Amino acid sequence: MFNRIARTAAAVSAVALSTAAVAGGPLQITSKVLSETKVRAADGSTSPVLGPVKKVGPGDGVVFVLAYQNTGKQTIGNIVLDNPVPQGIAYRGPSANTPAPEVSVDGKTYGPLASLNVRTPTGARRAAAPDDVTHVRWRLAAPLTAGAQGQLAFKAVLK
Amino acid sequence: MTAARKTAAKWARGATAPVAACLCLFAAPAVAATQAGTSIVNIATLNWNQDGQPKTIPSNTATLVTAETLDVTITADRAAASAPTGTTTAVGFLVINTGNGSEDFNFGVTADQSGVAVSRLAIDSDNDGVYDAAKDRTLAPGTALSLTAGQQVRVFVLIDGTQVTAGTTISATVTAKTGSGAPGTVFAGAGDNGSDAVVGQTHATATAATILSPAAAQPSLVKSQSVFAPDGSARAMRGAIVTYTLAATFPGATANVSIDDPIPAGTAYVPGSLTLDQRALSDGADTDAGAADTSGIHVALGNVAAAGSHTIQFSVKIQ
Repeated sequence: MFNRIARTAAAVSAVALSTAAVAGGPLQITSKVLSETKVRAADGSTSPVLGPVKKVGPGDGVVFVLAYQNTGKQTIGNIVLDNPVPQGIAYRGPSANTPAPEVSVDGKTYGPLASLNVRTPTGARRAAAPDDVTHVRWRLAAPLTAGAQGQLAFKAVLK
Repeated sequence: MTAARKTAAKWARGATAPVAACLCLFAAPAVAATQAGTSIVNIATLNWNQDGQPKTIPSNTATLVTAETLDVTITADRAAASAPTGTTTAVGFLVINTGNGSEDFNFGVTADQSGVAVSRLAIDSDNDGVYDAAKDRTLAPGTALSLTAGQQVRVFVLIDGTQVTAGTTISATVTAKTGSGAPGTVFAGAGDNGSDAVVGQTHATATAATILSPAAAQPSLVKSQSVFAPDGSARAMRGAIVTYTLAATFPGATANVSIDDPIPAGTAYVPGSLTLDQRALSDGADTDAGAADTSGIHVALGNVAAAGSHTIQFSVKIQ
């Protein structure tokens, strides 16, 4: 690092900052980012454990978690969660226990990744790859009853 | 075309040197990784219909700061080089910051033979892979190399050949100033923009070596060719243009150098194609160093300084 001015503020680096969920309305959504670290068990096997992001560099895996809740008194149907993939992030797939989302490579057309294609610089078309994904979307199949909540997550890596 | 005719080179010291290829490798820049210190912000939205009206709310923002990966590579321009007595030999090392942040790297040189002195460290300022005492600025010992992510720089180590014995090894080591060690080692807050710095797969340090030998100061001349046929291929067919490259290197100072090369039979010189060090020379025998006609090319280099090199190119058309 050329400039060490920031060094005094070192402790805050690479921390997953999180502000309060936006209130209002009968529905709430909270976004957080976690990192997947491998924890070694006594028998020598390793298993991935999700935890707060301590430090992530290019190539490291992260998990985006979306938690939603119906805080109102009515059942709400046809709920859609949409997550534009942030700059610098490459989509990899749904987390365990999360249904596969519909994805998009242009923010307009959504579907399974295998159904999408992208235009190459030469004007030809090729099948879309996870790196091409710009948006991730889930349409909740069942209406969300009053007080109900859920969580969806997708895996990604830092470019 | 197969009948490459003999290339003649003359220099005051006489004997023709054995062929020695000058390998000038330029590593491809690292794949663009997210710059260290970059904040990555995620916001999701929830969409539904309420009383027939579409409703949307955003989530909070979840932010993470990209850590700085400390990675570096170094490559010796040549695995082996001659360092004749009485001359100064320039040994080049290419250093690449393969991490994702701006970083200072310490550069150190050692010789395994006592008495072998490093007379100068210089940066290849014009990035041509050839040491030039006038153009390439000195790197003061102990001065770090400041490289942005993906940036590369070539450092010349100048060796006084007096004490060189066969097998003398010159080792150059670069190390990230922020820290090095086992991959994954974290230097909290020491990265760009206050991000954490994390040692990458290269251990944030790298070493390369060139083995020297005290061979006599013999110039060398290497001739190569490339063919460009009218159909875009590299077939030596009628009408194809063959470009010859003559690379002359001079380990020691050499006087009165001239290089002659006849035009091969069955080909015709392409007028105006003669160049010296990528600058055009006129075909006429005039004030510049070169002359060319239907029989051959002639370039007078005069007195060449130690560790000098020159490249001559000309083209012929297959008849």
